[in-house]
Amino acid sequence: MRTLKFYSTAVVSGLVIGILGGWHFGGVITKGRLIWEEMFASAGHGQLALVQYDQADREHARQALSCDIDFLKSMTKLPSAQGDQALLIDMGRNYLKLAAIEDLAGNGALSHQYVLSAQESFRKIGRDIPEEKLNKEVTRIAALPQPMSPPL
Amino acid sequence: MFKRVSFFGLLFLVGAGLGLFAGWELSSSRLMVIERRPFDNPDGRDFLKTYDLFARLWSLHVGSAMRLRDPKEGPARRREYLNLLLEIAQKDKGQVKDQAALTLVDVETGITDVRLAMVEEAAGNLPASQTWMQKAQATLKQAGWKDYSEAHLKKLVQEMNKQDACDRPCGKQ
Repeated sequence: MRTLKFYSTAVVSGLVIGILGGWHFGGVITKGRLIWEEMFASAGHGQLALVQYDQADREHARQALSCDIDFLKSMTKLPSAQGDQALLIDMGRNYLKLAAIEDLAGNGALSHQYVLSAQESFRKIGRDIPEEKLNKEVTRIAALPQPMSPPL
Repeated sequence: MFKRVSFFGLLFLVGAGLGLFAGWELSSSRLMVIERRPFDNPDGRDFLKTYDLFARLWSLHVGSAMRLRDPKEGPARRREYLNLLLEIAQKDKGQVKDQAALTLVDVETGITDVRLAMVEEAAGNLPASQTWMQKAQATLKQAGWKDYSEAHLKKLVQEMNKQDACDRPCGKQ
């Protein structure tokens, strides 16, 4: 009986220490993996949308940017992306590019709407940029030669 | 006495090993459930499929760019990641429902085709190079590209390789 107790102590103490260690390291590694995945997904989707914006025709560029905005919006719901301000910056930049596309297409009202959406995105990260400044940025983007090469 | 201590140590290690595995799995599963919880609806599940696909494609995209920029890598090793990327894109594309996201997957496929064309050209396999380039041009034309000439695609992909392999600081031309 004493021997059994002695050996049970060995197993149980090993098990407890193992579970604590596994819980800690499993959490750390999984968190890292989720952040890594978040970085790759946002970078991949964002870069490909930018390539489309630079290289494709207006309709495809518009679709790519809108798709990236929706993707970034969904990503903000991910717990691993909490506090990642880059998502909102990218979203704001995409809105400005969309505003430039609509500006060039003569859709003034829609362009203005996108500028306001960009302003809202930047405001969420504590950057209150005046509309006038954003309009200037839209004019600058619209004046850039298309296609831009290299696109990134 | 020595035998008893050794056996104690062995049982301790067995317990610790089992505990480590169990703790790891529990903690990891808990975090994965927390991560996926906001997407427990049809739209959310579609998003997660797209999200997973882009994460995998981009990790291979960056990995292949690094291999392409590394002069020590031979054509076989360079083809490896590129073919894997095409395989994943082809296999998992069916899970993505958003048309615009599918176009982005096509753009990634087109860029990879150009990379393969350049690998084959450097290896002296000109017919294979031409085949990949024609495939890339057809894909990118379909994706709405304005200039899909061979010269433009090569120049563009060379610049992308530099950027993706971190040979050049991000954001600087």
